[in-house]
Amino acid sequence: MPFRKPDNEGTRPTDVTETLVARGAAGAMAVAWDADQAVTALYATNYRPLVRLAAMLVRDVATAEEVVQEAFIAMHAGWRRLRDPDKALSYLRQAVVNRSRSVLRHRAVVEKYAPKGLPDAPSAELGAINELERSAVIDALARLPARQREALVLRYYADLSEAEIARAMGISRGAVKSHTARGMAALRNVLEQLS
Amino acid sequence: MTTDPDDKYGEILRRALHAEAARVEPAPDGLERIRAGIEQRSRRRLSRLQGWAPPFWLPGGWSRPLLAVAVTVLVVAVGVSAPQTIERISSAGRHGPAEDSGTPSAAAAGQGAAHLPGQAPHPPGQGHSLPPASADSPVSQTPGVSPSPTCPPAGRPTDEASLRPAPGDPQHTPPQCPQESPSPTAPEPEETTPTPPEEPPSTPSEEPPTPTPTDEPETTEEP
Repeated sequence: MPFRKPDNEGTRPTDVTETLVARGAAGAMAVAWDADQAVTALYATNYRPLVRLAAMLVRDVATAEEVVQEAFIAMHAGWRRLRDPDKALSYLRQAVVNRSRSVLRHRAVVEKYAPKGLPDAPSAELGAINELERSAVIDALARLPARQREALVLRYYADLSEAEIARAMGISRGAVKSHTARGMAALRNVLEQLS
Repeated sequence: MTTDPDDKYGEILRRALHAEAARVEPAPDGLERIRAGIEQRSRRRLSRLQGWAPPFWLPGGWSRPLLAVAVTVLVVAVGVSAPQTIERISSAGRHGPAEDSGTPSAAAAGQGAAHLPGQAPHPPGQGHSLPPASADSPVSQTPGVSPSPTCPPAGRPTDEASLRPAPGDPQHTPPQCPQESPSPTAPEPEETTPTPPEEPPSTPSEEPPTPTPTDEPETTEEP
């Protein structure tokens, strides 16, 4: 999992983890990074996972890429204001969640006045069982409220802790629990049929 | 946070999410886009700063500072010239009140002078106040201001005097014109000519009472 927190020992060593551990060990070096170097390094290790995370939220790869790119640009602009450069990944993740939320809000307005099919509606044309399961789950997930979907994606895809989810969503841990429980309850009917 | 392995629903969800995410493959030019966006943003910020700068830095924007300097110079000039003007006003006010007080007094003196020839014989009961008034008439002439004030106000009192003493002295009332007033008083100044050097200081003291007798007779006469 690319979004494993560096403090969590015993987790799978991913690129993000290695990078953040290395940066934590050499904090001065991380601070010495300028914005361009930070963008380059964080892009190499986190761009793809972040795009996938955004794609889970906005259900559109192109839009997800734009969201992540804007997050990188914003991080570059505010790099000097970043108190702790080690939290750059957390900042990026939070920016991705917020921008995905904005995209979904804008899309809801657009779809309200021009109701059309989503550009990348999940397809079950392959006919495989996993594919059916995936499409069914993704469809059910897409019908959830945004907060519940965010909580579930951040937990079951990004594998974040409640505290990290709360920070990324800008809500309390109790609210994270609530959103997660409600989302799982809403998905339960679909998941029961698949299990 | 590690999910419970028994949570089969969670596992199903996790599997589905990863399968969906595995299908997502971002474009390889992401970094170039990010860098282009960063450059564009920096350009936009720079252009925004340049857009704000002209009013303060570019030559075309010197109108505001020039205007401010001009206003400052104007205020300073007014502040510097104000004391002089105030002094002028105050000095004029010092002489002015004397003149102003003199003008009514002179006017009153003029009235008195105008009245004197006509009233000196007319109200004999007030003759005590009138003789000094008669002495004022040459004194009022000595400052040289008296003729000018006597002339305009002389017309007014002459009318009043001409209306009242008219029945008493029909002959004196017409000659109360300013030109003719010296002529009847001419014999009297000859008598008072020795007094002028003594009386000029007394004239200002006597001028104020002069209006009072002129007014008093009116008030006294009315009842």
